[in-house]
Amino acid sequence: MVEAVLIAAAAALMLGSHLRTALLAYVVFTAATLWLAVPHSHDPRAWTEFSLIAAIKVVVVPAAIAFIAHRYDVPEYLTPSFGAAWRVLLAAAAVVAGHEAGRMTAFSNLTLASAVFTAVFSSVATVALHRNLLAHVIGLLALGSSITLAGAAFAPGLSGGVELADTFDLVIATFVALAILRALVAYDPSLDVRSLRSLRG
Amino acid sequence: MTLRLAVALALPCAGALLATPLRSRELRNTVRIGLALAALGATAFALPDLDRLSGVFAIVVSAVSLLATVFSTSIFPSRERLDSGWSNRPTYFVLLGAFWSSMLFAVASTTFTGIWIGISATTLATTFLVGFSGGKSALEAAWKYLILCSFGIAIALLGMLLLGRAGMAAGIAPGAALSWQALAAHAALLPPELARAALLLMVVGFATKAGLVPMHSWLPDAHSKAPASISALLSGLLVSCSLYAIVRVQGVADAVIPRLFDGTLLALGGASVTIAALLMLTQRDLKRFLSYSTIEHSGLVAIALSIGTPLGSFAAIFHALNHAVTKAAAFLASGAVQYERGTTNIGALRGLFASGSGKMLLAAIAGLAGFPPFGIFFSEFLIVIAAVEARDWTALAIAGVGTVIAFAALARLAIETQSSTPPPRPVVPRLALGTAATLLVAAVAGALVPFVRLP
Repeated sequence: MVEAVLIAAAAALMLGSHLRTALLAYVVFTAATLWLAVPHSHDPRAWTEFSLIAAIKVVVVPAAIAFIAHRYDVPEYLTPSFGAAWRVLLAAAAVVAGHEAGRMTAFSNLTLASAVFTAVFSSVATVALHRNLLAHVIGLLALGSSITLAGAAFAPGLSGGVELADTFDLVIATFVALAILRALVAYDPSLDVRSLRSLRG
Repeated sequence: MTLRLAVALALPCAGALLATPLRSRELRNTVRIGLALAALGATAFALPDLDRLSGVFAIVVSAVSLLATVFSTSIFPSRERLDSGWSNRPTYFVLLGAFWSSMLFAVASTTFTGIWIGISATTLATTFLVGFSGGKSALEAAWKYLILCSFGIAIALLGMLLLGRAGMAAGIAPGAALSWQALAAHAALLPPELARAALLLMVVGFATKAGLVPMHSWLPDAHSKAPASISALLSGLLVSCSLYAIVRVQGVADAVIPRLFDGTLLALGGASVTIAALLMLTQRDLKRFLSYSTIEHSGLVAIALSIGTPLGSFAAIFHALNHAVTKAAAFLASGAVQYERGTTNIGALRGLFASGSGKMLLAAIAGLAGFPPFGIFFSEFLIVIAAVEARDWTALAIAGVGTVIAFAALARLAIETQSSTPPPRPVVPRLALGTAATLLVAAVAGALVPFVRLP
């Protein structure tokens, strides 16, 4: 059931074309990954870390994005890179690829492997399917949630400190990204990635 | 972690913070340089706590970072706009200190967790430094750098979690499941398919930060738009730290399945050397040119690692260190040239040989081209010997072709910028030229490394 919610939220992340939809999808997506990653022990430290990660990912970061969008009057439209038909096709491909990756021999003994890889591919696809820079931040955050799920599913016992580090890394990355977005709005209020083509990598 | 190692790791960042509240600019700069010197001393003092590879990288990180700090106090990066919240002197030096501490943390760690934390922290510390000028192109470079490197480093973390799982399946305690020593010792017990997938993800993740093709697109933008002293650290040190991470991953990979990543590293390295060398021919901006040269040298290191022999690995590490020092010197020289001429457009840089900064740049170009007595000559020579010894003709051919093209591009740059008559110019601070010159001397001294018999 939770895996179905995760896939539905991932699809909404990839297909959504408005900031509110994407933020809501991200919150549901992250809540689903956290639900699957709930600690099984009664260790207070594990629960404290988990609560901290959950509060930051589900409340603090989406609130910061919403604040920036409101404060700097960033357009709601996330400027999809492709037409609706192509987006549906690519989103379906990401979900199928994630499912198949989880069934590969290397990962056959891992619990929730398909869910983890679906989440990872969906996060990457979210970036590829939108041209708005805020959508790229949301994709990056969704990838962080996927990693949290991977830690809990693949390496319980190992994951506490690593995931906390990952969470703080992503939170700081998000705030750094939002600070740069704030400066970029002055040059291009639409925050379209096409405006970032003066340099050619 | 011992106290002296903790002090060595914390001092660069703490020193920058301590100097910030001082009112007098002269005093602030003196304290900054003094504390940076103390940080280098602390790194040297902590060497007994590190293994030989970590120790060599830590010393190079601290020495080059110290010189970049001295250079920055002499020529502070100019600003295109004044209203970026982070474009001010205190923030610059604090972020520079944080960058230095993060790199030290990465190379001083004994686990992949530590390397990952250190390398991901460098991204956060340097994004504002890349976008320091606040101009549109600098912000664009900072954005690409942050997003692409964050994705790369997240992929490396996914690989680490899988490797941790493999380690625990082999009976390693969870606390040590990401220690490369424990993983290499239990290599025979690691599930091979899972370990292979995990290590591949880690190589791809760290290769993104090392700027290997095709994950390189952020590098020329970020390295060319950052202030010169930061470009020196990004191109010289950060790329080397990421290559160091790949060396550690390869150490475990070889214990699991010998020569597991030789093909992958040859493909990444070959593509990097060839594409970067060709793109060097088309560049019209000095710093962008040097950035592509970084990708080319990063590719050479990957090719040397792909040879898969002890000599190949030594040549790779030796080349990474030589490149770190020489490229840092080249970027500092480019900063002095930019200060003098107000531009890095190659077309506008004529008659540089008449000035101190121009001579410095010419020496750095000679070093990057692999002229003796610079260390790069010896490390490139070692790569050739390693390839011949291993009869790895593919690696030899790709490295040879790439190096020849890069040599042609460097020769053209030297001829174009050094010829003709110079226009009148402001005098470059001696301290700035001195730091670049010190690095060039170090680049020459690096040539002695293979002849030093360590105890």
